[in-house]
Amino acid sequence: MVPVHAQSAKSNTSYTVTGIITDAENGSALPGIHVDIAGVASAISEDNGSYSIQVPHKSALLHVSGYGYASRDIAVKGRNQINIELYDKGYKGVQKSTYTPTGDVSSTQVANSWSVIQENNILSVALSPDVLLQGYTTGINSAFRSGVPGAGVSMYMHGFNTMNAGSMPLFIVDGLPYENTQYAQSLLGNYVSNPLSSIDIKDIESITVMKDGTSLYGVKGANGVILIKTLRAEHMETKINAHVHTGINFTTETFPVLNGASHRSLLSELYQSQGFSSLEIQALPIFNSEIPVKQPWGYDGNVDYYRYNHETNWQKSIYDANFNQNFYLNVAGGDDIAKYVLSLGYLDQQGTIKNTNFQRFNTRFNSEVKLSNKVNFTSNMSFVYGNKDLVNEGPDNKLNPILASAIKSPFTTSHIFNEVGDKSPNEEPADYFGNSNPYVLLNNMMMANINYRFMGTFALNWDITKDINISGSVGLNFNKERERIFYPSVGIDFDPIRDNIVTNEMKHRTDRLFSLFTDFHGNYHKRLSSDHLIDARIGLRFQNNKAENDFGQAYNSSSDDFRTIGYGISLLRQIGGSIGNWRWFSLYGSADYNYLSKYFFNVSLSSDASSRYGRDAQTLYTYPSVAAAWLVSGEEFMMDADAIDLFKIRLSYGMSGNDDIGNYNGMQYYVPQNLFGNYGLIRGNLVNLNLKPETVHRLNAGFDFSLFKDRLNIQVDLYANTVNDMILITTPDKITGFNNYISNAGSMQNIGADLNVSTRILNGPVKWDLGVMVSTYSNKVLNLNGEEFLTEAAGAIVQTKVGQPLGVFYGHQAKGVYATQAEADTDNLHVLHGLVPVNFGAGDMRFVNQTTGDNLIDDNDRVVIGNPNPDLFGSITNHVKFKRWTLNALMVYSIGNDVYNYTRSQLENLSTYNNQALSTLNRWKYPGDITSIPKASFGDPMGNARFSDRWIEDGSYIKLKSVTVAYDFDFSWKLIQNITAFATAENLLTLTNYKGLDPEFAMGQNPLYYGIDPSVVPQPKTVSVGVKIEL
Amino acid sequence: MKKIIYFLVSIVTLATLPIACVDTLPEEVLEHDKFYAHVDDADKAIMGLYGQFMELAGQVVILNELRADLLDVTPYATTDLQEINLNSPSENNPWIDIRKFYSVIQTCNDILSNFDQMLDENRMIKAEYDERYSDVAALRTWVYFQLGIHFGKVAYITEPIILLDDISKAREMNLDDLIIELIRTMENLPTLEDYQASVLTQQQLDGYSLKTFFIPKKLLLGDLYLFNNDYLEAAKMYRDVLAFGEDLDPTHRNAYIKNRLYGYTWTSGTPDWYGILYRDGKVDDFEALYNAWRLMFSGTTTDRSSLEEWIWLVAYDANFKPQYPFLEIFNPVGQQGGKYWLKPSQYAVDSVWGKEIQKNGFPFDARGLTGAFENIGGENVVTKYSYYALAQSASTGWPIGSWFLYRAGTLHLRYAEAANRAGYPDLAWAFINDGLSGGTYVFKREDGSEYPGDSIKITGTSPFDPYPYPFNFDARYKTTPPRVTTAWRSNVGVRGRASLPNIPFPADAVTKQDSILFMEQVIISEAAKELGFEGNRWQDLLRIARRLNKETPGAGTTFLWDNNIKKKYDQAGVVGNDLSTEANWYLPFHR
Repeated sequence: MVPVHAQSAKSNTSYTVTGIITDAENGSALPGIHVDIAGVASAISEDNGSYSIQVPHKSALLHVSGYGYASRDIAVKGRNQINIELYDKGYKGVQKSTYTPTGDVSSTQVANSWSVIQENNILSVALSPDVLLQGYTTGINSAFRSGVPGAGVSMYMHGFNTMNAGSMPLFIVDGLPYENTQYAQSLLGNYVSNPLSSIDIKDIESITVMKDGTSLYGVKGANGVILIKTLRAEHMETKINAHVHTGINFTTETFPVLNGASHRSLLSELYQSQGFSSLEIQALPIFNSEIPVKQPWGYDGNVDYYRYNHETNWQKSIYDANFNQNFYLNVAGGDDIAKYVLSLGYLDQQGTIKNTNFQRFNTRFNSEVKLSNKVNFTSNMSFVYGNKDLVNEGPDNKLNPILASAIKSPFTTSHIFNEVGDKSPNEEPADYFGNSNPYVLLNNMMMANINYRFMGTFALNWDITKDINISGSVGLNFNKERERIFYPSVGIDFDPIRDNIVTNEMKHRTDRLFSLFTDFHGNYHKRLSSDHLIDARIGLRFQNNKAENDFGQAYNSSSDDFRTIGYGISLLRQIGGSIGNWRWFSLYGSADYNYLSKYFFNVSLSSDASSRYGRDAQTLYTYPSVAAAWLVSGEEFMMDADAIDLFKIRLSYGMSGNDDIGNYNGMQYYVPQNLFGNYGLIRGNLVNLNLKPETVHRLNAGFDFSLFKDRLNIQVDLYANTVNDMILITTPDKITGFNNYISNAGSMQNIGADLNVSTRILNGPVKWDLGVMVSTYSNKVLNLNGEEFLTEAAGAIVQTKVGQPLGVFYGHQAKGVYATQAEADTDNLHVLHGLVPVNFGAGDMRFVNQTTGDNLIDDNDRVVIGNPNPDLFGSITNHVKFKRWTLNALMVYSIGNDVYNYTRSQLENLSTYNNQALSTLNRWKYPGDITSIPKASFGDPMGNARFSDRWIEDGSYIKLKSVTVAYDFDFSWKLIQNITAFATAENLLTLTNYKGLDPEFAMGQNPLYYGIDPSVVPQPKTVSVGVKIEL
Repeated sequence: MKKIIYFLVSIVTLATLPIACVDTLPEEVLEHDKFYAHVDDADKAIMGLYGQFMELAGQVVILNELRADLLDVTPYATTDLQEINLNSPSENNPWIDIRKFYSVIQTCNDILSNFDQMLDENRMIKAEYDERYSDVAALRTWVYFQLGIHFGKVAYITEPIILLDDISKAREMNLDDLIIELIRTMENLPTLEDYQASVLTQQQLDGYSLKTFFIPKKLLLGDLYLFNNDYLEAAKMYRDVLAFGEDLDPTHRNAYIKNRLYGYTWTSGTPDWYGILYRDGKVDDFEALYNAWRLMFSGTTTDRSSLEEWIWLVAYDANFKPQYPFLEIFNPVGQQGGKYWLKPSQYAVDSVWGKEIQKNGFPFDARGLTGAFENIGGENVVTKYSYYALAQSASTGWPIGSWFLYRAGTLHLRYAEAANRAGYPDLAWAFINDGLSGGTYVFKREDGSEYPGDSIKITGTSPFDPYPYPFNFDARYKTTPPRVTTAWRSNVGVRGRASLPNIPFPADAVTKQDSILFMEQVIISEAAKELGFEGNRWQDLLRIARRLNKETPGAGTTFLWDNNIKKKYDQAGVVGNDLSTEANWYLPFHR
């Protein structure tokens, strides 16, 4: 026994606890393990694993930690003899060191519902930390926006917490807050700038997801807060980590579509439906099968014959197996004055769609300098350069290559064939039907997004006394993003602009964010006696943001080689942009109090001012929160409950704000109004001078259990959030002259539960850890100021109505297809063409007439036809270790969510000349046909393809996100300390009934668009191999 | 402990500093406090207002024409337009959405209250204030007047709605009260004169002159008086505008002949006046026909002849918003974005313009076929709004089209109506038929010989008994010394300009009242032919109908419904909303 020190203030209740510390895997005794009672006593185990420590009272908490082992907190509960088993470091028990806003503490002592993610990221092939948030925490409903590299994840924490304001969680990267919101609309279809793609996942040490207690971040915390801590040098010795991997993306699945012959037959039906005779149809160049014969006067026969007689698999042509590679190096080290980490990364990830890629160069320098015994200086700096070549992923049949290739007729081809069938190197223009040439969309156009981001935080920390320190920091977040788009003259059928023919189109955009943040705070950390610990902080922070967005659009440059807007003709040039300035100031404080290491209290508060508030609103809005936790297992009455290692009850209530309510909506302003080429000024808004931030109230109850020597860990959270003062954009009295009025009139609630079970199933030579995360929530709109909102996106209509979840699908119910005219006559339903009723007939959809009293199918017959919110979502993780082998597998799932399949609505509408899905072979053709697909009718006069439950599908899925196998070589060289080789497969398997390419997608960040699949690039299957070298 | 206190004090000090500077200045929009600092801002506000006003064109023309008898829907028309055509719009019909009207009204209110403040704080001098204030207040009056004639009532508010609660300041007002209120507003304006000193009318904007761009206040007040059956006051206002340039000598050609509906014999070249012309007076020769009347619908804002006819003309440029709405509405499908939603009603084609026979016996009114509309590929297409676009030139200042708000022809018709009711049916007759230079005021001695040329053609009962103001006109023209050349010497009248014969008083018009009632019908029927599709028809029909109903209950209803609008439906074979009760005349006012 080696008593290190024992404090003088021994109370009468103090006594000695002894025991043996062993390895949980093989039972061997562990020497050199630290056993601490914070600020009171400390001991180290001996060679035989035995330890002895003086505990102040029966309720003390032992903190056991040792190199290579996962630390544990163990309540003494009045016992004299406590034998302790420790698990290896990789074990994901409930107990972890948690990075909190005020520092690192053991998770047992956190009163809030915060999850911490500490993966061994150095092996990860993922390019940004989004992945971790999707798979390794509960309560965040997240989905990858698309399979384009770096597209990012949209995340909704504990349901939807806003309707019109910013919806994404706040990120705090090394203390620097940054809003993950769109300052400006990208010109690229469905592209959302993803700030997280600027952070290399391998630079991340720890992530904490704050699902409550976000009051500390005042008006920024309504959607939850995610703290990211980047690498720090732990030791003075110089350590070098290198990571290299390379991988291949496999081509993805495609939609089953008609072949050339079937498409011709469909076209023939469509022409017939418009009154073409068969002779007329045969004369069309797409049908005429006379092979051209050269004659002295020209060609006899169909000169376009070789143009329209191919069998092109357009969809296959847009995808390609592509490579990706990643190099990463970090160096950590220093001396007792200064410690530093330097990292460099280079990434070249090619997309599964041809000519798309993401290249990133990132560098980071984190340092910590001890200026004196009491003053130290830390800095975290990163610079990132990213270059993306993208494609349009919006619901745009002409420009989105996925849609364009799916609807492109297979008998057309990418390059021009002449009269005798010789292929030219020149590309085909938009085809007979106006559909784009997908070859051109990938090869001749440009869609580049380039960004530079500098982030730096500089902090000075001064320990005034042992208990008090103050700290001042300055943070800078500078991001510049440039977009360049060029659509060439051949291959795309542009819509004319103001009667002018458009030959080609070019767009540029520059978006600049400059955000300066200062924070000044003081900490008070005091152990009053062995029983009371107080940790308090008070501070203030100020953030000044300026975002500027400028774009230009030009058309008709003289040649496709001139791709900048300067070359467009001046008449059609368009420019625009926006500037947003906003400021945030807050005065904040928090206090943690810990009594007997059993009772934990946290109070935090932030009083916030923002430039976005209305002029008559309060200057400061205050957001308090309280949290309490009771470590029940630390009580003496639990002494005999040996199976229960830990049982903690948590309860918290807090308020947070959301000031992402528009920069200027709270002030009366004027906007420019055109008058010829000049501008006048007119009133810009019906101002609401009382406009204030949205308020989210969060009530959370949680239970943490560790059972059977920590082999089974269960964490349960139950929560109820209420969003008050929710921003609504309502329709005011028309005599105001305005369409919109922005007010805080709405409210909404989320009730939900998160369950996180992690268990070590096998603990022998083979260790198998299984983690299951299950989350569920139910969202309900409580108040909309008497209104009801319909929002349209990609042809879908979503309804927001009191008593329902936010944004449910709202459309017609379809009950199959009328097989015969008699059936249709029985229903006797009609639509109006102008004011003329037209009856449904055989082969038309049988829509449900919801309004009794009329036989009209119109907008009044719409009902709720789907709920995009999942019943359950979460992930399953597996971690298996055998000797030097490890296997990690991550599965994510979402169950019970409805999805609007925009792509299918384009491939089964049977009303245009576009190619259609294979399923349309089953369309209604003759009286008596029983089918679910209506007849082909050009222009869809009966609205058979209208937004209805035909396009709503069950979007449930379970996806094997990643599987990694790693082998740790046993090296005992001087130079190389360790080599780990690994292989990772991503997106190997997806189980779903969804008919789209990928059940995981997101359209923008607005919660109203949740569940709308605008036809994004599916996530590719990827296999990578790599190696990590430690020097 | 001392350190803690220092620490707390510094926290508090630091805390108070940034709260003060947390407010930001917007760069994207202009904050209220920063506007209305100077008279230039006042002009910017007026430009903004008119830019916004231009967005009303489509709605104003559609409501005034499609609800009346001359315009009809085609099979391409949207459901919304079909509802307007039948006078039975549903609640969400965008054509009856009052919001855009109120946007203009609220902009006016905002400007006016700020102008008052600018004057109070000496940020604008009285002379600058007077003309700007009057312009804005008159435009607001015009918009209320339009709302009134369509909806029968308005929510009347003259203060800006800045906060939502401000809507409680609005009073609901019926049409009768509204007209009185609007007249009162107009009478109390600082001035009724056009801009004298504003830079807006001195300079051109992208090649567009703004001389005819701003609302003619006297004509608006005249129209309000006329609507209120206040004929003498109306006539005075119109006469004031008609008098423009009368005191100048003929060398000031522009001003001298502005608003005169003058005509000459055409010999060759492009005539610089408007009329249905036959070369060298060869009125029997169809080949000699030249429709120079319609040139008024393609003259630029700087064009001399255009300025002689147009009093209020708002041009639209193809390259700038607001967008010109009419090409889409009227043009044949595909032609310049045409959707061919609306066309001339068969009733208008057959029975309004079609019944006219020109002086030479050609059986059509060239202001209709070849003027207001043309037959393109077998379909009648409203072309009044597309002559600009057809004549489109690359030069700046060439509009894609214009909104036709007020011109000399309109003024003649309105003045005639006022003069007629004021007891001067002969004067009205002359204005409508062959003008003051025609034969009406050629007086003869008892022996049958004419008075000398310098004394005739002065409106009156004899050369020695001229009518009093505002009915006095001088049309003398004598080429032998002493020469006399007067402003009205070449006035050819509304029908005269269209090469149409005079319409004689019927034999059964015995009393003066008979003549007046007869003449009123002639005027209103002439207005259809002269002004068709320009957005006046509903106002004209409603004004007469209300007047007649007041005199003889039911007479107005018969006039509006049986004699005019119902005929359109009958001819088209549809059943429109029955307007045979006065309550049905007005559209529902959905706030």
